[in-house]
Amino acid sequence: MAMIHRSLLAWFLVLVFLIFVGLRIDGRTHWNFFLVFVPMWLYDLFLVAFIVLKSIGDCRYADLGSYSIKRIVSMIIFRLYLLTMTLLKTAFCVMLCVNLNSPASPPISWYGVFTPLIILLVALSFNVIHELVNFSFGLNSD
Amino acid sequence: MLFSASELTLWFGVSLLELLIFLTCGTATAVLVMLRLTGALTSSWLVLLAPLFVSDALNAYFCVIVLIRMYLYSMLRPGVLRTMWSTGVIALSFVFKFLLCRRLDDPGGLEFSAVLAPIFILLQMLMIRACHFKTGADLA
Repeated sequence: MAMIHRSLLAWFLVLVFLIFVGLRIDGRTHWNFFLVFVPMWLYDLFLVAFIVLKSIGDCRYADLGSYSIKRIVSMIIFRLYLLTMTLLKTAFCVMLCVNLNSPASPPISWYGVFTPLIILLVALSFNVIHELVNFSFGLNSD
Repeated sequence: MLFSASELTLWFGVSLLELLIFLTCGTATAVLVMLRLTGALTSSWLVLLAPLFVSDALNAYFCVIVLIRMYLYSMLRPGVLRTMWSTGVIALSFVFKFLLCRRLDDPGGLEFSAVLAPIFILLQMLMIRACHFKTGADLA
């Protein structure tokens, strides 16, 4: 999938999500928050589909003997890392919806809700640090 | 995720360092908001979102440094264009955060649609930027 398609898809889903959130918080609709978060569920679905399709593509090339064992292992670890990040984001959104649906007495502790988000942000920060180090020292980030 | 770090830097027109600053400050803000929601902190929302304002300030400082460096390397035109884009993004995100603080401290004051207005403008700018990518380009 080309960069322009992915970016426009993400842009559209974020735009619709923000419109839904604005309408819900201003009280113009009384939708369940799980419905308000539909663009986010779609985004997660695309993420998982994207990761699975990329993994299938990698397996095909690995089967042809194009990749070394070291590269295959690093690819598997990278895909698992991406999948974990997606699951953390989904877990945060689900728990947030549960708590927002009953604001008077949130059923889940806020510590529990924010833990996946904080883990996700820390992991993304380490990813960017890794990219920054590779860029600074001219290393290949493969 | 759906984009690699290099693709994000290309789309948002920021460097990896600016992305790192934003992520670090975002983590600090998430921790503070979590503490506020659990009742461990009772500070105003302006204090709780302070890391994000710090991130804006650091990114603005970084932009000025980049502009000066590009001017010294005789790349004034791309330097000015980059600074204009970054200034617009930082200004819009600052206005959004300020309005969000006002709204959270006084829930009856502003409509949330008005709070989101700078983000909608920012999204239009990002859409125009995304349309400049070539159809066949795939950096992943």
